[in-house]
Amino acid sequence: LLLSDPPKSDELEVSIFGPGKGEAIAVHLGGGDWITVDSCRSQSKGTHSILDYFEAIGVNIEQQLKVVVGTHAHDDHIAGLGQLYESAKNAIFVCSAAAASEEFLVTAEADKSVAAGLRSSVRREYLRILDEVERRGRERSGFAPLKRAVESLPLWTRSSTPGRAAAEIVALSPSHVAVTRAQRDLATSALAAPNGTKRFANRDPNEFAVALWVSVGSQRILLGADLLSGPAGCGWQAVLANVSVSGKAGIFKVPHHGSITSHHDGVWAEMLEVNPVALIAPFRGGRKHLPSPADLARICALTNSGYVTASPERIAQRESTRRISASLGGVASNVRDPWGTPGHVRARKGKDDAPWHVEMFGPAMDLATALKSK
Amino acid sequence: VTTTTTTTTSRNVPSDQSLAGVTADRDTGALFLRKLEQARIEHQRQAVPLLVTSGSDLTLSTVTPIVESARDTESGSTAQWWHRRGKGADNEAISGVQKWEGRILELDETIFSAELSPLSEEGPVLVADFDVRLLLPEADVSVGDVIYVTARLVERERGMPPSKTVSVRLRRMGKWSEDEIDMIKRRAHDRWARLADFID
Repeated sequence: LLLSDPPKSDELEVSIFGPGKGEAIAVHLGGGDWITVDSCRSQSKGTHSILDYFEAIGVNIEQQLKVVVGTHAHDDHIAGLGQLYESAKNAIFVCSAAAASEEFLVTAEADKSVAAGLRSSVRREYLRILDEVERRGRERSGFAPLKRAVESLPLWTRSSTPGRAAAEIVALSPSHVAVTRAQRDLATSALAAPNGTKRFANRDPNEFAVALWVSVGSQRILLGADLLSGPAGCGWQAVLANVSVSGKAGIFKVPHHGSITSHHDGVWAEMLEVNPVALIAPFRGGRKHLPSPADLARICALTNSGYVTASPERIAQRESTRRISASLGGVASNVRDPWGTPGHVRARKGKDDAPWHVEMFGPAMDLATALKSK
Repeated sequence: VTTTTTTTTSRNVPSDQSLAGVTADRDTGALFLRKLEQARIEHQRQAVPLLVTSGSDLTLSTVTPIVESARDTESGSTAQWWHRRGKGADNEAISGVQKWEGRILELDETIFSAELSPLSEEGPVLVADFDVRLLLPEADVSVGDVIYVTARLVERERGMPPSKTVSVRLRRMGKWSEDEIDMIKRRAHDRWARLADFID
């Protein structure tokens, strides 16, 4: 198949892109309906992975993209999310209940104030989306385009019609405990630093990320966002304790780039089929890359159908990066473009009893190959 | 109170003599001088590649003291340092400057990583690691703080090869005023009230 070949109407598809600035997922629910989760932008080319892909396969974004999800406010997940949502003129926007709160908005407005005159920003993308939510809501009477995800909440449903299976998207997280914790922390983090110093937000929103359970007919898809395993009452611990789902997923977007901090044995035992397709976008922005060799080994032991959109290893640097590295030599070390060219793993499934058919584009590879290259 | 720094090139650790040009008064100035002295002592104790100087054209009365660290990258020696401002020392001229704004992404006891966006020309956004001691003696550094990195190409006397100097400066954002806090909370409240109608 070519990259530009669209899925058939009755085919499911899960595509994962990354690591540009961000990672992104596009899911075809059959019948031409799509949802997207997070966003990815190529830093080197300035292109938008999902918008480009949809254009390549002929998706009418205005009509066919039903739901845009921002799982959490980390900028390795939301780069370009505002642009994507603005293009999806009939889509609802889903974010964590903790991120759609007055407490979060205080941090966003504080960041906006801090960012005046700076290139940096943390919450800018979210404010752009919320501006669009308001505009959309004002223009269409009775349309509520913002959905606040919290555990067990159905976010979108579709009834079955001839040739199109019923579909449902349910939020697995954040838990009510996580939302309460997040709102408390947000309320005290932005403006009430002990010395009142201005700075950008520094809360780890992985705690209140939105993990999703997608059902289409008898098929299940688990999209893990960056949800952590805990702490108590939060994360995967809470999902397993509080959320009831039917069936097991045959495909899994592994949470938090395969990190051990998001691993929970119960997820693999109770929510996933044996040997599921596991999809990972690596994270190379930090000093410790994810997945680590230990992460790769752990996941390879759990499934032999694991794929990663690019090598987690440091990539070859472009000439422009090498020049800057030379300019900063002696003071800065490890000068790097951690994003490189985003890869793409595409998994499609036709009939219920057919296996997932997985294709890799660009620097994508299977996990066994990634592990061997370590 | 204007900070006056020497314009004489010094290739040694900041000396008492080089600090003598710094004038300041009241508490702010005294604090600044203490920080300079603390950095000088730290440098001597650890042979840390540091030079602490005031930022050029800044005044202590309007800006919290800025810590700038610079290193002569041509020599690679940790013992050779510049201490100067503006157009450089006698017989020197800055012939090229590259600047980046950075946001600190990770920070531990020894290293911080920052995402650098170019300010002086088009170029890639990059991530780089820095020794956290470059920001000493600032104790209150945190993830999310903003730095400026400047690389200067300095032409020297005829026959001498140009040298490069790289500086790292922490941007001090100041403190929230009561008015700012009230305004931010009001904006957030108003936005939340408007959004409430559009939440399903």
